[in-house]
Amino acid sequence: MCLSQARYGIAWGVIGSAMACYDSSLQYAKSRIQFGKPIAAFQMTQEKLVHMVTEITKAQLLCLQLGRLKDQGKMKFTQISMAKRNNVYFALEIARMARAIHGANGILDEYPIMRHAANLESVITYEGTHEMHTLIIGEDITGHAAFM
Amino acid sequence: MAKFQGVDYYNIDSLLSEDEILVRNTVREFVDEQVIPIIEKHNRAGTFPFDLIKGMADIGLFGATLPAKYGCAELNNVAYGLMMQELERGDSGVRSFASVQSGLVMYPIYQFGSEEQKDYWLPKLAKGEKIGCFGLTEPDFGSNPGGMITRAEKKDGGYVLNGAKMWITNGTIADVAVVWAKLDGVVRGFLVEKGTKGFTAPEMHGKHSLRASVTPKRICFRNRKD
Ligand SMILES: Cc1cc2nc3c(=O)[nH]c(=O)nc-3n(C[C@H](O)[C@H](O)[C@H](O)COP(=O)(O)OP(=O)(O)OC[C@H]3O[C@@H](n4cnc5c(N)ncnc54)[C@H](O)[C@@H]3O)c2cc1C
Repeated sequence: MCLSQARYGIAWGVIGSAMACYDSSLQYAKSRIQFGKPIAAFQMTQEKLVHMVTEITKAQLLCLQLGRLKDQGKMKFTQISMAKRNNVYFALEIARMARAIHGANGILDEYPIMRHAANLESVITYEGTHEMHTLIIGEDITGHAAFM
Repeated sequence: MAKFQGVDYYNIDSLLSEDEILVRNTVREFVDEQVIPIIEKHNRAGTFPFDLIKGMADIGLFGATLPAKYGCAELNNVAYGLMMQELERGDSGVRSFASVQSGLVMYPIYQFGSEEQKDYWLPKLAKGEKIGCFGLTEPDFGSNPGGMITRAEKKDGGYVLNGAKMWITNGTIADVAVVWAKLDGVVRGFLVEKGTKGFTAPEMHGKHSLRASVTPKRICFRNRKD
Protein backbone atom coordinates (compact mmCIF):
# COMPACT_ATOMS: atom_id res chain seq x y z
CA MET A 1 0.00 0.00 0.00
CA CYS A 2 2.02 3.02 1.14
CA LEU A 3 5.30 1.20 0.54
CA SER A 4 4.06 0.51 -2.98
CA GLN A 5 3.45 4.21 -3.52
CA ALA A 6 6.99 5.19 -2.54
CA ARG A 7 8.65 2.27 -4.33
CA TYR A 8 6.80 3.20 -7.47
CA GLY A 9 8.29 6.70 -7.24
CA ILE A 10 11.77 5.29 -6.64
CA ALA A 11 11.57 3.11 -9.75
CA TRP A 12 11.03 6.32 -11.74
CA GLY A 13 13.38 8.44 -9.66
CA VAL A 14 16.55 6.49 -10.32
CA ILE A 15 16.07 6.97 -14.07
CA GLY A 16 16.88 10.60 -13.26
CA SER A 17 20.16 9.69 -11.57
CA ALA A 18 21.04 7.48 -14.51
CA MET A 19 20.20 10.28 -16.97
CA ALA A 20 22.41 12.73 -15.10
CA CYS A 21 25.32 10.27 -15.24
CA TYR A 22 24.76 9.44 -18.91
CA ASP A 23 24.37 13.07 -19.95
CA SER A 24 27.56 14.09 -18.20
CA SER A 25 29.41 11.07 -19.67
CA LEU A 26 28.31 11.78 -23.24
CA GLN A 27 29.41 15.40 -23.02
CA TYR A 28 32.67 14.48 -21.36
CA ALA A 29 33.46 11.72 -23.86
CA LYS A 30 32.96 14.07 -26.79
CA SER A 31 35.24 16.74 -25.39
CA ARG A 32 38.06 14.80 -23.70
CA ILE A 33 40.90 14.18 -26.16
CA GLN A 34 43.35 11.27 -25.75
CA PHE A 35 45.62 9.77 -28.43
CA GLY A 36 44.57 12.69 -30.62
CA LYS A 37 40.86 11.82 -30.62
CA PRO A 38 37.83 12.40 -28.41
CA ILE A 39 37.48 9.36 -26.11
CA ALA A 40 33.94 9.03 -27.55
CA ALA A 41 35.60 7.80 -30.73
CA PHE A 42 37.01 4.69 -29.02
CA GLN A 43 35.00 1.49 -29.25
CA MET A 44 35.21 0.72 -25.54
CA THR A 45 33.79 4.13 -24.60
CA GLN A 46 31.00 3.69 -27.12
CA GLU A 47 30.15 0.30 -25.64
CA LYS A 48 29.68 1.97 -22.24
CA LEU A 49 27.57 4.81 -23.61
CA VAL A 50 25.42 2.40 -25.62
CA HIS A 51 24.90 0.19 -22.57
CA MET A 52 23.87 3.26 -20.55
CA VAL A 53 21.35 4.62 -23.03
CA THR A 54 19.90 1.15 -23.66
CA GLU A 55 19.34 0.49 -19.96
CA ILE A 56 17.84 3.97 -19.50
CA THR A 57 15.44 3.28 -22.36
CA LYS A 58 14.39 -0.09 -20.92
CA ALA A 59 13.85 1.51 -17.51
CA GLN A 60 11.70 4.25 -19.06
CA LEU A 61 9.51 1.67 -20.78
CA LEU A 62 9.14 -0.43 -17.62
CA CYS A 63 8.04 2.63 -15.67
CA LEU A 64 5.71 4.03 -18.27
CA GLN A 65 3.77 0.77 -18.58
CA LEU A 66 3.80 0.38 -14.78
CA GLY A 67 2.33 3.87 -14.46
CA ARG A 68 -0.37 3.19 -17.04
CA LEU A 69 -1.32 -0.02 -15.20
CA LYS A 70 -1.40 1.90 -11.91
CA ASP A 71 -3.63 4.57 -13.40
CA GLN A 72 -5.97 1.84 -14.66
CA GLY A 73 -6.00 0.19 -11.21
CA LYS A 74 -4.43 -2.98 -12.64
CA MET A 75 -0.92 -2.83 -11.22
CA LYS A 76 0.36 -5.69 -9.05
CA PHE A 77 2.84 -4.89 -6.28
CA THR A 78 5.18 -7.56 -7.67
CA GLN A 79 5.39 -5.48 -10.85
CA ILE A 80 6.63 -2.53 -8.80
CA SER A 81 9.27 -4.85 -7.36
CA MET A 82 10.47 -5.63 -10.88
CA ALA A 83 10.81 -1.95 -11.82
CA LYS A 84 12.45 -0.95 -8.51
CA ARG A 85 14.85 -3.89 -8.61
CA ASN A 86 15.85 -3.47 -12.24
CA ASN A 87 16.06 0.29 -12.38
CA VAL A 88 18.13 0.84 -9.24
CA TYR A 89 20.51 -1.95 -10.21
CA PHE A 90 21.17 -0.46 -13.63
CA ALA A 91 21.29 3.12 -12.37
CA LEU A 92 24.12 2.04 -10.08
CA GLU A 93 25.88 0.24 -12.90
CA ILE A 94 25.49 3.33 -15.09
CA ALA A 95 26.93 5.54 -12.33
CA ARG A 96 29.99 3.30 -12.11
CA MET A 97 30.49 3.32 -15.89
CA ALA A 98 30.11 7.10 -15.86
CA ARG A 99 32.84 7.32 -13.25
CA ALA A 100 35.14 5.32 -15.52
CA ILE A 101 34.41 7.52 -18.55
CA HIS A 102 35.27 10.64 -16.55
CA GLY A 103 38.64 9.17 -15.57
CA ALA A 104 40.16 10.84 -12.52
CA ASN A 105 37.75 13.77 -12.89
CA GLY A 106 34.99 11.29 -12.12
CA ILE A 107 35.88 11.32 -8.43
CA LEU A 108 35.51 15.10 -8.09
CA ASP A 109 32.36 16.85 -6.95
CA GLU A 110 32.67 19.18 -9.92
CA TYR A 111 30.76 16.34 -11.64
CA PRO A 112 27.61 14.76 -10.20
CA ILE A 113 28.80 11.17 -10.67
CA MET A 114 30.13 10.10 -7.27
CA ARG A 115 27.23 11.79 -5.48
CA HIS A 116 24.73 9.81 -7.54
CA ALA A 117 26.76 6.60 -7.21
CA ALA A 118 26.98 6.96 -3.42
CA ASN A 119 23.30 7.91 -3.12
CA LEU A 120 22.20 4.92 -5.15
CA GLU A 121 23.88 2.62 -2.61
CA SER A 122 21.15 3.71 -0.18
CA VAL A 123 18.42 3.51 -2.77
CA ILE A 124 19.26 -0.10 -3.63
CA THR A 125 18.83 -0.94 0.08
CA TYR A 126 15.85 1.09 1.25
CA GLU A 127 12.22 0.41 0.39
CA GLY A 128 13.03 -3.28 0.05
CA THR A 129 16.57 -4.38 -0.77
CA HIS A 130 17.47 -5.70 -4.21
CA GLU A 131 17.42 -9.19 -2.71
CA MET A 132 13.96 -8.81 -1.12
CA HIS A 133 12.48 -7.66 -4.42
CA THR A 134 14.10 -10.65 -6.12
CA LEU A 135 12.37 -12.93 -3.62
CA ILE A 136 9.02 -11.15 -4.02
CA ILE A 137 9.08 -11.70 -7.79
CA GLY A 138 10.51 -15.21 -7.28
CA GLU A 139 7.58 -16.16 -5.09
CA ASP A 140 5.12 -14.68 -7.55
CA ILE A 141 6.38 -16.68 -10.52
CA THR A 142 7.22 -19.97 -8.76
CA GLY A 143 4.68 -20.08 -5.95
CA HIS A 144 7.50 -20.79 -3.48
CA ALA A 145 8.37 -18.21 -0.82
CA ALA A 146 12.15 -18.26 -0.32
CA PHE A 147 12.41 -15.62 2.40
CA MET A 148 13.25 -18.11 5.14
CA MET B 1 27.95 21.85 -19.01
CA ALA B 2 25.35 22.16 -21.75
CA LYS B 3 21.72 22.34 -20.62
CA PHE B 4 20.05 18.96 -20.05
CA GLN B 5 17.80 18.04 -22.99
CA GLY B 6 16.37 14.77 -21.71
CA VAL B 7 17.20 11.24 -22.80
CA ASP B 8 14.62 9.84 -25.20
CA TYR B 9 16.08 7.33 -27.62
CA TYR B 10 12.76 5.59 -28.33
CA ASN B 11 10.55 8.67 -28.76
CA ILE B 12 8.78 7.80 -25.52
CA ASP B 13 7.59 11.41 -25.34
CA SER B 14 5.08 10.46 -28.05
CA LEU B 15 3.44 8.16 -25.48
CA LEU B 16 3.02 10.98 -22.96
CA SER B 17 0.14 13.45 -22.82
CA GLU B 18 0.74 17.19 -23.12
CA ASP B 19 -0.02 17.60 -19.43
CA GLU B 20 2.48 14.92 -18.47
CA ILE B 21 5.19 16.62 -20.54
CA LEU B 22 4.33 19.99 -19.03
CA VAL B 23 4.67 18.63 -15.50
CA ARG B 24 7.94 16.94 -16.38
CA ASN B 25 9.39 20.10 -17.91
CA THR B 26 8.34 22.21 -14.92
CA VAL B 27 10.25 19.95 -12.54
CA ARG B 28 13.19 19.75 -14.96
CA GLU B 29 13.47 23.53 -14.93
CA PHE B 30 13.14 23.66 -11.15
CA VAL B 31 16.01 21.16 -10.82
CA ASP B 32 18.24 23.08 -13.24
CA GLU B 33 17.60 26.41 -11.58
CA GLN B 34 17.20 25.56 -7.90
CA VAL B 35 18.67 22.15 -7.11
CA ILE B 36 21.81 21.64 -9.19
CA PRO B 37 23.46 24.98 -8.30
CA ILE B 38 23.30 24.32 -4.53
CA ILE B 39 23.35 20.58 -4.12
CA GLU B 40 27.08 19.84 -4.00
CA LYS B 41 27.48 22.36 -1.20
CA HIS B 42 24.81 20.59 0.88
CA ASN B 43 26.19 17.19 -0.01
CA ARG B 44 29.62 18.23 1.23
CA ALA B 45 28.27 19.74 4.42
CA GLY B 46 25.79 16.91 5.00
CA THR B 47 22.88 19.33 5.31
CA PHE B 48 19.35 19.21 3.97
CA PRO B 49 18.50 22.12 1.61
CA PHE B 50 15.53 23.51 3.54
CA ASP B 51 15.24 26.41 1.10
CA LEU B 52 13.95 24.02 -1.57
CA ILE B 53 10.84 22.97 0.36
CA LYS B 54 8.70 25.96 -0.59
CA GLY B 55 9.64 25.70 -4.27
CA MET B 56 8.87 21.98 -4.30
CA ALA B 57 5.47 22.68 -2.75
CA ASP B 58 4.77 25.47 -5.26
CA ILE B 59 5.22 23.10 -8.21
CA GLY B 60 2.91 20.55 -6.60
CA LEU B 61 5.46 17.86 -5.75
CA PHE B 62 3.98 16.83 -2.40
CA GLY B 63 1.10 14.38 -2.55
CA ALA B 64 0.89 15.06 -6.29
CA THR B 65 -1.72 12.36 -6.97
CA LEU B 66 -4.05 13.31 -4.09
CA PRO B 67 -7.28 15.34 -4.50
CA ALA B 68 -7.25 19.10 -5.07
CA LYS B 69 -9.53 19.63 -2.06
CA TYR B 70 -6.51 18.96 0.15
CA GLY B 71 -4.40 21.44 -1.82
CA CYS B 72 -2.76 18.71 -3.91
CA ALA B 73 -2.12 18.66 -7.66
CA GLU B 74 -4.41 15.65 -8.40
CA LEU B 75 -2.14 14.33 -11.17
CA ASN B 76 -2.05 10.84 -12.59
CA ASN B 77 0.64 8.35 -11.62
CA VAL B 78 2.69 8.78 -14.78
CA ALA B 79 3.01 12.52 -14.11
CA TYR B 80 3.98 11.77 -10.49
CA GLY B 81 6.61 9.30 -11.75
CA LEU B 82 8.04 11.86 -14.15
CA MET B 83 8.28 14.35 -11.28
CA MET B 84 10.33 11.87 -9.25
CA GLN B 85 12.56 11.14 -12.25
CA GLU B 86 13.36 14.81 -12.77
CA LEU B 87 13.88 15.50 -9.09
CA GLU B 88 16.31 12.63 -8.72
CA ARG B 89 18.30 13.91 -11.69
CA GLY B 90 19.10 16.65 -9.18
CA ASP B 91 19.73 14.44 -6.16
CA SER B 92 18.43 11.20 -4.66
CA GLY B 93 18.39 12.78 -1.19
CA VAL B 94 16.07 15.56 -2.31
CA ARG B 95 13.91 12.99 -4.10
CA SER B 96 13.89 10.89 -0.92
CA PHE B 97 12.55 13.87 1.02
CA ALA B 98 9.71 14.23 -1.49
CA SER B 99 9.04 10.47 -1.64
CA VAL B 100 8.70 10.23 2.12
CA GLN B 101 6.49 13.30 2.38
CA SER B 102 4.24 12.12 -0.48
CA GLY B 103 4.31 8.35 -0.63
CA LEU B 104 4.97 7.40 2.96
CA VAL B 105 3.22 10.14 4.93
CA MET B 106 0.51 11.89 2.89
CA TYR B 107 -0.60 8.76 1.05
CA PRO B 108 -1.19 6.61 4.17
CA ILE B 109 -2.93 9.52 5.92
CA TYR B 110 -5.16 9.84 2.86
CA GLN B 111 -5.81 6.08 2.62
CA PHE B 112 -6.16 5.15 6.28
CA GLY B 113 -6.57 8.41 8.21
CA SER B 114 -9.77 9.80 9.72
CA GLU B 115 -11.49 12.76 8.01
CA GLU B 116 -10.20 14.94 10.81
CA GLN B 117 -6.59 13.78 10.31
CA LYS B 118 -6.84 14.30 6.53
CA ASP B 119 -8.30 17.80 6.83
CA TYR B 120 -5.71 18.80 9.37
CA TRP B 121 -2.52 17.28 7.95
CA LEU B 122 -2.83 16.99 4.17
CA PRO B 123 -3.03 20.71 3.27
CA LYS B 124 -0.14 21.55 5.59
CA LEU B 125 2.00 18.73 4.23
CA ALA B 126 1.12 19.70 0.64
CA LYS B 127 2.31 23.27 1.28
CA GLY B 128 5.47 21.99 2.95
CA GLU B 129 4.54 23.86 6.15
CA LYS B 130 4.76 20.56 7.98
CA ILE B 131 7.24 17.76 7.34
CA GLY B 132 6.58 14.07 7.79
CA CYS B 133 8.60 10.90 8.28
CA PHE B 134 7.85 7.18 8.15
CA GLY B 135 9.13 4.83 10.82
CA LEU B 136 9.07 1.15 9.98
CA THR B 137 12.69 -0.07 10.24
CA GLU B 138 14.12 -0.89 13.67
CA PRO B 139 17.72 -1.52 14.77
CA ASP B 140 17.11 -5.29 14.77
CA PHE B 141 14.42 -5.56 12.09
CA GLY B 142 15.10 -4.25 8.56
CA SER B 143 14.13 -6.63 5.78
CA ASN B 144 11.86 -8.43 8.20
CA PRO B 145 9.71 -5.63 9.64
CA GLY B 146 7.08 -8.15 10.75
CA GLY B 147 9.38 -9.02 13.64
CA MET B 148 9.29 -5.46 15.00
CA ILE B 149 9.50 -4.86 18.73
CA THR B 150 7.76 -1.46 18.99
CA ARG B 151 4.48 -1.88 20.82
CA ALA B 152 1.32 0.18 21.10
CA GLU B 153 -1.15 0.07 23.94
CA LYS B 154 -4.54 1.66 24.25
CA LYS B 155 -4.65 4.09 27.12
CA ASP B 156 -6.81 7.03 28.23
CA GLY B 157 -8.59 7.45 24.91
CA GLY B 158 -5.29 7.36 22.96
CA TYR B 159 -2.34 5.07 22.42
CA VAL B 160 1.00 4.76 24.16
CA LEU B 161 4.00 3.69 22.06
CA ASN B 162 7.23 2.09 23.23
CA GLY B 163 10.20 1.21 21.05
CA ALA B 164 12.91 2.53 18.75
CA LYS B 165 13.07 3.10 15.00
CA MET B 166 16.22 3.56 12.94
CA TRP B 167 17.19 4.97 9.52
CA ILE B 168 14.13 7.19 9.35
CA THR B 169 14.52 9.74 6.52
CA ASN B 170 13.43 13.27 7.60
CA GLY B 171 13.17 11.98 11.18
CA THR B 172 15.20 14.80 12.77
CA ILE B 173 13.17 17.56 11.10
CA ALA B 174 9.71 15.98 11.02
CA ASP B 175 6.63 17.52 12.61
CA VAL B 176 4.76 14.24 12.34
CA ALA B 177 5.84 10.61 12.15
CA VAL B 178 3.86 7.73 10.70
CA VAL B 179 5.05 5.02 13.08
CA TRP B 180 4.38 1.31 12.77
CA ALA B 181 3.88 -0.63 15.98
CA LYS B 182 2.20 -3.82 17.14
CA LEU B 183 -1.16 -3.46 18.81
CA ASP B 184 -2.23 -6.82 20.26
CA GLY B 185 0.25 -8.52 17.92
CA VAL B 186 -1.01 -6.81 14.73
CA VAL B 187 1.12 -4.15 12.96
CA ARG B 188 -0.77 -0.83 12.86
CA GLY B 189 0.15 2.74 11.84
CA PHE B 190 0.12 5.66 14.30
CA LEU B 191 0.59 9.39 13.85
CA VAL B 192 3.00 10.78 16.40
CA GLU B 193 3.46 14.54 16.61
CA LYS B 194 6.74 16.19 17.39
CA GLY B 195 6.73 17.36 20.96
CA THR B 196 4.89 14.25 22.18
CA LYS B 197 6.36 13.21 25.53
CA GLY B 198 9.22 10.73 25.12
CA PHE B 199 9.79 11.39 21.39
CA THR B 200 13.49 11.91 20.60
CA ALA B 201 15.35 11.86 17.25
CA PRO B 202 19.06 12.78 17.33
CA GLU B 203 20.94 13.13 14.00
CA MET B 204 23.09 10.28 12.65
CA HIS B 205 26.62 11.20 11.59
CA GLY B 206 29.05 9.51 9.20
CA LYS B 207 26.83 8.75 6.19
CA HIS B 208 28.69 8.45 2.85
CA SER B 209 25.38 8.32 0.99
CA LEU B 210 22.28 10.56 0.80
CA ARG B 211 24.24 13.29 2.52
CA ALA B 212 21.77 16.00 1.49
CA SER B 213 19.01 14.12 3.33
CA VAL B 214 18.63 13.88 7.10
CA THR B 215 18.47 10.57 8.92
CA PRO B 216 18.30 10.31 12.70
CA LYS B 217 20.39 7.74 14.50
CA ARG B 218 17.37 6.47 16.29
CA ILE B 219 13.86 7.67 17.00
CA CYS B 220 12.79 6.61 20.44
CA PHE B 221 9.32 6.42 21.87
CA ARG B 222 9.44 6.12 25.60
CA ASN B 223 6.05 6.68 26.93
CA ARG B 224 5.79 3.93 29.40
CA LYS B 225 2.78 3.54 31.55
CA ASP B 226 4.80 2.72 34.64
C1 LIG C 1 19.63 6.42 3.83
C2 LIG C 1 18.54 5.51 4.28
C3 LIG C 1 17.26 5.99 4.50
C4 LIG C 1 16.24 5.14 4.97
N1 LIG C 1 14.99 5.65 5.22
C5 LIG C 1 14.04 4.88 5.82
C6 LIG C 1 12.77 5.43 6.21
O1 LIG C 1 12.48 6.61 5.96
N2 LIG C 1 11.89 4.65 6.90
C7 LIG C 1 12.17 3.33 7.21
O2 LIG C 1 11.32 2.70 7.83
N3 LIG C 1 13.35 2.78 6.81
C8 LIG C 1 14.30 3.51 6.13
N4 LIG C 1 15.52 2.95 5.76
C9 LIG C 1 15.81 1.58 6.16
C10 LIG C 1 15.78 0.58 5.04
O3 LIG C 1 14.48 0.38 4.57
C11 LIG C 1 16.42 -0.74 5.56
O4 LIG C 1 17.81 -0.46 5.69
C12 LIG C 1 16.18 -1.91 4.66
O5 LIG C 1 14.86 -2.37 4.78
C13 LIG C 1 17.14 -3.08 4.94
O6 LIG C 1 17.18 -3.38 6.28
P1 LIG C 1 18.60 -3.53 7.04
O7 LIG C 1 19.43 -2.37 6.72
O8 LIG C 1 18.30 -3.83 8.47
O9 LIG C 1 19.27 -4.78 6.35
P2 LIG C 1 19.05 -6.40 6.68
O10 LIG C 1 17.60 -6.65 6.69
O11 LIG C 1 19.83 -6.66 7.90
O12 LIG C 1 19.71 -6.99 5.41
C14 LIG C 1 21.15 -7.11 5.22
C15 LIG C 1 21.38 -7.87 3.92
O13 LIG C 1 20.82 -9.18 4.01
C16 LIG C 1 19.91 -9.40 2.95
N5 LIG C 1 18.79 -10.25 3.41
C17 LIG C 1 18.00 -10.09 4.50
N6 LIG C 1 17.08 -11.05 4.58
C18 LIG C 1 17.26 -11.85 3.50
C19 LIG C 1 16.61 -13.03 2.99
N7 LIG C 1 15.56 -13.58 3.61
N8 LIG C 1 17.09 -13.57 1.85
C20 LIG C 1 18.13 -13.01 1.18
N9 LIG C 1 18.78 -11.92 1.60
C21 LIG C 1 18.35 -11.33 2.75
C22 LIG C 1 19.43 -8.03 2.52
O14 LIG C 1 18.96 -8.01 1.19
C23 LIG C 1 20.72 -7.20 2.71
O15 LIG C 1 21.53 -7.37 1.58
C24 LIG C 1 16.52 3.77 5.21
C25 LIG C 1 17.81 3.28 4.93
C26 LIG C 1 18.81 4.12 4.46
C27 LIG C 1 20.17 3.55 4.16
